[in-house]
This record gives sequence, C-alpha cells and structure tokens, in this order.
Amino acid sequence: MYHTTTWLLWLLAALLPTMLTRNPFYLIILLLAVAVAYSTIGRSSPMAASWGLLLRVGLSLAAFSALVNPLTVHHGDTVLLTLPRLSLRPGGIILLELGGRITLEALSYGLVNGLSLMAILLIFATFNVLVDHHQLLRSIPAFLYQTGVVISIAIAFVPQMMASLQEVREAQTIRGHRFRGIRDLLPLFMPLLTSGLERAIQLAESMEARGFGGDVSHSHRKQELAYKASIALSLFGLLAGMFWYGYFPAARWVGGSMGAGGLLLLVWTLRAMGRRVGRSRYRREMWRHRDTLVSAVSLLSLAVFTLFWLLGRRALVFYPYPRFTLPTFNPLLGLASLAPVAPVLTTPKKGKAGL
Amino acid sequence: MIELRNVTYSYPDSEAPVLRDLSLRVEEGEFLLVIGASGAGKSTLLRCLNGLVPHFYGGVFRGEVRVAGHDPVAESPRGMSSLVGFVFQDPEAQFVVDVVEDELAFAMENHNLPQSLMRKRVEEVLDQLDIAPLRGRRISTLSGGEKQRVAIGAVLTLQPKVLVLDEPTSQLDPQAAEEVLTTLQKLNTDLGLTIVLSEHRLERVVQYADRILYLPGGGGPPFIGRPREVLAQVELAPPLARLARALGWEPLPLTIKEGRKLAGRLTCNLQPPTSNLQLPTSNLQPVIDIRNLWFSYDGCEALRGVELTVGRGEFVALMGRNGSGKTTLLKHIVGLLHPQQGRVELWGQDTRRMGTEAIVRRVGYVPQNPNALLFADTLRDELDFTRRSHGLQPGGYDELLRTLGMERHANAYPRDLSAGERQRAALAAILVADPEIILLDEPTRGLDYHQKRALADFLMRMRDGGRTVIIATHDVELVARCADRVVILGEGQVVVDGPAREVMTNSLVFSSQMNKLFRDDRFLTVEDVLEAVER
Repeated sequence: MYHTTTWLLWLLAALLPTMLTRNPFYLIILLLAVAVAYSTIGRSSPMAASWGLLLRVGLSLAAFSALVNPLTVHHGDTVLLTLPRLSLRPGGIILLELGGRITLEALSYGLVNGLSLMAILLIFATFNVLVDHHQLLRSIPAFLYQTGVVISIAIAFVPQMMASLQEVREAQTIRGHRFRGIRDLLPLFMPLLTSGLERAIQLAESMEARGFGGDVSHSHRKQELAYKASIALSLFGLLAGMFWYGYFPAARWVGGSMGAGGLLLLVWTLRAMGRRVGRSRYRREMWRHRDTLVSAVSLLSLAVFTLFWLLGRRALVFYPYPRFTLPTFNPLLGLASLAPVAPVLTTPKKGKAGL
Repeated sequence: MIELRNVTYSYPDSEAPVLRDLSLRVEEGEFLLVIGASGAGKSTLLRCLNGLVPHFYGGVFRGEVRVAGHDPVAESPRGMSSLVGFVFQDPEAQFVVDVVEDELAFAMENHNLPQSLMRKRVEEVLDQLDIAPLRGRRISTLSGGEKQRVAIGAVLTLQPKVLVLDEPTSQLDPQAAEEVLTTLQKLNTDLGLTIVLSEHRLERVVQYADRILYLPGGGGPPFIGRPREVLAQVELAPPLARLARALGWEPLPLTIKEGRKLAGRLTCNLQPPTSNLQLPTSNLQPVIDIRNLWFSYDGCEALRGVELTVGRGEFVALMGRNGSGKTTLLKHIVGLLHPQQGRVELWGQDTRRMGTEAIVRRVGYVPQNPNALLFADTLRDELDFTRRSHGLQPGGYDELLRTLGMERHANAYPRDLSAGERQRAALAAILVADPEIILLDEPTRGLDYHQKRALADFLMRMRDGGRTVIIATHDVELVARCADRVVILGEGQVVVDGPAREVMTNSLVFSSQMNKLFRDDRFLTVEDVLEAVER
C-alpha cells in the first residue's frame, strides 16, 4: 500500500487541524475526508473490525459533549429555552448547575468540541486500520527494537488471554462452579494465570533459541560510560535551554540553541547506541511515486495550517460567546483540511495494474 | 556431531537429578529418536543440546556437552542458535510475528544477516519444506501441521547443523503428524541434517530413526541402540513390536510391510476370537439423542445436521480430522453450547430446557487442556471443590484415586504433576461427582503406552459399571482397545457410524496396526491376536 512514513505524515496532517482550529467547517471537511479514506481503502484491512466500534464511541462522545455543554454552561446571549434548574451549591459556591438557560452559544460550542473529539478518534482509528503494524514496529529506532517486540507480543497476548478465559470458564462451569462471590474468582484466575505464564515461558524459550536479544557486541566499559555521560549532558542541555527560554525572554536565542543542541546530542547518542544492536531487517519498504504525492499533500496541508496559526490566527478561531456569529470560511484552509483524502485519489483502482 | 560426557542435571528446588551421568555420542547425519516414560527427562536432554538447560532453567549442571565442537553451556542458547535449531511441542506458543515469511526471517534478523542473503534463504526454505503457498498467510490461519512446518522452517533459515524437536507431533492429528515426519525424513536424507527427536507414539517414527535412546526415568540406566535392539527390550513398545516379541519373531519387524510377511505364515492357523462383533445398540435404552444438529461459529459451520443416538453403557469413539466438529459436538452434549438448529436430548429431555447445572450433575466432560481445570493447592482440594460445587459431601474418593493410580499424588500441587498425571488429575476432578455420562476430549495427549493402557482399562470398567463413555480422539490404538462403536465426523457431518471392528478395518487412517497387519476385522489389538493363537 503506502510507506509507513507516508502514513505517519498523513496522521500528522490530519491531527494538526484538530489541535489548531475549532472552526466547524474545517472539522467537518476533515471528518469527511478521513471517512472517505477509510471506506475506500481501509475496509479490506484485517483490522477493520475495530473501526466500527471506534466510530460508535466517537459518535456517542460527540453527542455527550453536545448535550452536556449547554446543560452546564449558561453563558451566551441567545437563549433557546429555559429548563427547570438543578444546582449543587455547598456553602453558597455554585459548583454545578444543570438546566436553566439553554443558550445557542453553549450548544454550538459543545457541538464543535464534540466534533473535534470525534475527529481525533476517527483519525487514529483510520490510521490504525490503514497502517501495517509490523512495519510500524520495524520503523522504530533500533535501540527501542526490543521494547517494540515486547509490545507487539503483549498486544497478541490479549486475544489469547480472552480465549483462555473462555476455556477456563467452560471448564469450571462443567465442574458445577458458579459465581457467587469474590472467592469464586480463584478457580478462574489461577488457571488463567498459570497457563499465561507457561505460554510466556515457552515463547521466551523459542525466541532465545533463535538468537533474540542478539549480538550486542560486548562494548567496553569506557564506551558505556561515555554514552551515559552523553545522555546526561544532552538532557541537561535540553532542560537548561527550556528554562532559559522561559525566564530570559530578552535572549531567547541562547535558550533555543541550548535546547536544540541538547536534542541533537540526544538523538545522535541514541542512534549510536542503536547501531551496536547488530540486527538486520528482512523487509525494506518501497517508496513509490504515490508515496511522494501523498506526503507532499500532507506536508502542504501542515504548512498551510502552521502558517495561518503563526500569522493570521483569527481565521482558525471559533468562539461563539457572548453572541453567536457564523464562523468564517477560508477556501485555502478548507482545501488544506481535505488533505487526508489524498491516499484515496492516488490509490490505483482495482483491476488496473498496480503501481 | 553431538557428544555428552557424564551429564548430570537437576532442576532448581529438586533433589533428585533428572539426568544422571548420561553419556551419548551422535554422528553427523544421524536420526536419533529419544523415548521414555513421561517425566523421564526427554525434554531436559534435548534442551541441553542448545544450552536452554542450564541457561534458561538454572539448576545444577555437571558434565560436558559438545555440539559440532561448541560448548552450549559456555556459549548460551543465543550463541548456539545458528548451530542448533529447536522446535517445540506446542505449535501455537512459539511464534513471534504473525506472517509466515516474517517468522522465517526472524532468526536471521537477530543474526544481522544481509538482506539479500535472507531473501535467498527464505526462498530455499519455503521450497524445501513445501510451504511456498503459505508465505503471505497469517500464522493464526494455518492448520497444526502447517504451523509445525513453519516452525521448522523458522529455525532452518539459519542453516543449523542439528535439528532438535521436542514432541513436535503430539498435538497434531495423524495426517498432520505424517506431514511433519515425512518433512523431517526428507531433511535428514537430502540435506544430511542431524535430527534429534522425542516422541510418544513410536509406531509413527521408529521406521525413520537410525537409533533410539531410551530414558527409563527414575534414575535407571539409559539404553541406546538400533531400533530393533531397543524395541526388543523396552517396555514402551508399539503394538507391532509387542506382538513380535510375544510370538518370538526374528528379526523384529519395524514396519507393517516387514510384519506382513511374518503374519502371513500365522494367519492360516488362527481361530476367530470369541468377543462378539455385534453392536447391542438396538436394545439399549438411549441416553443421548441428537437430531439434525446445526451449529456455526461466526458464520463458520462446525456441525451440519448431526444425527446420533447413544445408549446407556455404550463406549463410543468420536474420530475425524482436527476441525471436523468433535469438540463442538461434545460441548453440545454437556450443554455448554446450545443447538442453533435441531435438538439434543438427554434422558428424553431437551438440553435447552434442562439448564447447565442440572446437566453437569449427571454428565462429566474432561476438556482437552487439563490446565484449564486445575487451580487448587492439592489434588484433594481439587476433588473436594468439584464435590462441593455439585452439593455433595467432600471426601470419599480414595477408591477413585487408587484406580487412576493417583493416590500417591493426593496431596501434590496439581500443576507440578507431569502431563500424563495432570490429565488423570483432571479426569479425577470430573469423575469424582460420579457422572452417568463421561465425555473425554483428546485424553491421550502426552501419555505413554502404560498410561494409555491404564486409562483404557479404567474407562472400560466405567462402561461395565453402566456409564456411557464418549471419547473424541485421534488415537487409533486406544480406540481399538476399548471402544464398541466408532463415529467418524467429517466437516461437521457424521460420515461413518458403526461397530468399531467394522469401521476400523481396511481404512488407511483409522485402522490399528494389528488390523493393517492382518487385514482382518477379528484382530484390532495385540490381545485379539494372542487370544486366537493360544487356542
């Protein structure tokens, strides 16, 4: 399909608008673009089953936000209706007030917030469906590789545990086991735990017997020490830089360069450490023409939103209080919000020869 | 290729060593079969060859091991991984990634091999093992035999000098086991790979082995020799070898083909045995009545219109490939599953109306995996738990434990028992409620010949006491020994249903060794033949 890097850029380009804007027009365009991307290329993925669930969760979150906001926030001038009031005020301080004045402003703000929550959920859900998890794991840096494998095994463990639990529950049911209290958990929990452990030990043996944890070339103690010192130094640089940046606004460039220097040193050290783990990769991902296209579109969208945020922030803002006004619409931003649909346009149609 | 000198090893927290002063030499290109009672140290010995013992398990290790000139104790399993390929018993639990091709590359990636070399080796292994069509498949979608072949492939990519396999076929049906074993034979003859294999069902493998190592367990001296020499002496022998020994055949036949020549001379003098060939089904009062039973898991049809009636006191064997619906059928009888179509009646009552509690009081079901059952601190607690759950008084099961040969373990922690003992512990935990119908799912996994015979005798006694017994199994010899009736399922349907003698005669897969030898429905077991010879 697409290169993992392409998908990561896609994810960034889709997420950034949800962080920067509350403008409902852009959010709706974004949501639609993501939904189209899912329904045309994501549906055949083996992970597609999770999408429907997340969609439902997203919808209910949005509905919840759209309901709760007007019920609890009573600012705004346009009163739609007035409900009986229910308030919680211990010691005269109003903690929570339900009902009362329901305003158009609060309703619209709740809706927009819900929309943005739903967009974030759906973006991650779609990314989850589209990206190849093993490739994603493989593209993490070598020094984190072992952690990555452990995570992927842990993920695989969950469905296995569910299957075991089912097996154990059946086995205990036919012995006449009934669930009456906390003590009755033991017959379910113990077999589950022990079989999970046995399984883990077997897997560990199998990985060990195939050389996992591999040829970490025995580095010298001095070298080890140098790496540690380098990490400490880079972290110090990073923190000091941030501190400087915040407290001496007159010379921000000093703090900025200290921070950047620390970050660079950290990346370099971790890379050098990663190189010691002698480990090759079987699969090399292919970067196709369409990857360039999709990445370019994502980068462009990122650039447009960042520019607007830096220069003309007002175009992104939607704040309905105190009196509701229709949000503005900028065609360029609207176009940029469409970016997540790019993979759909560049994916070859079925039946045609693949790229 | 492999040399062990005076190896003694004991696991941590155990006084008695598993291996005692073991010395062994295996030549390059040899196929060595390791046999022995369960708990005799087969797995331990195999794990010495790549250093998992003592590196992974700890414990006290003495003596010296050399594999292709390397010392596994010094070099650790990781260091040995390019010399010794290790395949484990459970096809499920040894995979790391989820696609076949990546699994094959996993070991090479760990060894930092260049990509071009990896590609070449993956192609070679896919062809050698005949698994090229599986390359893009997810491992969870493979059958047991395919999984084990992928597991073999995953260690072959490092081009090891020795392939070590710990009971690789014990969880497979006979057809899948055959696939794996012929693959091994090919690797042994074509590539000259040294193979060390442990196995319980000897009738499958003796013909491939160059030599057999017998570990008696309990500190007895090990014995190594040509298959004929070893089978002539050890207790654990397949039916053909037992018959040959009883009749004094020389040289001892290893395959049915060799045995037939000798059997031919015998047949003419044989009298028919006295046991009756008729099924008494018609005059038995039916306890289980299944009508047009359909069931599917998520759209995948497991049972398709099963019809089956079982009478009181019958002993039925349920056979068929993995995935043919045996377990699903048993679960319907015990009320864990309810029919989507059709009905299951016990003693004339529909299981949907009886309620699980009422069923399990009278029907005992021992699942495939005894580990799913056992949780208590002692076997005694385990049995008391079942009795209390059924509203019975605790205790009163000493007789049962004695019959199962488990009285020594009454106060043992069930999880510490060997595979065979755990199986019997689970059996005891179910039978202690004295069910009228006994259902067993694959009861002979990991059992040696003694334990199997003990189990068969015990079940026959239960049947004679008026219980109804149904076992789902691949074990042809067990069925030949104790079942009255055989039901073969295929793709969720009853394909064959008839008296054991009739069904088990002249079948490629479902015939016992004796039946294949004589091609005569009077002879299913060694006892049948010996009885006829004596008269």
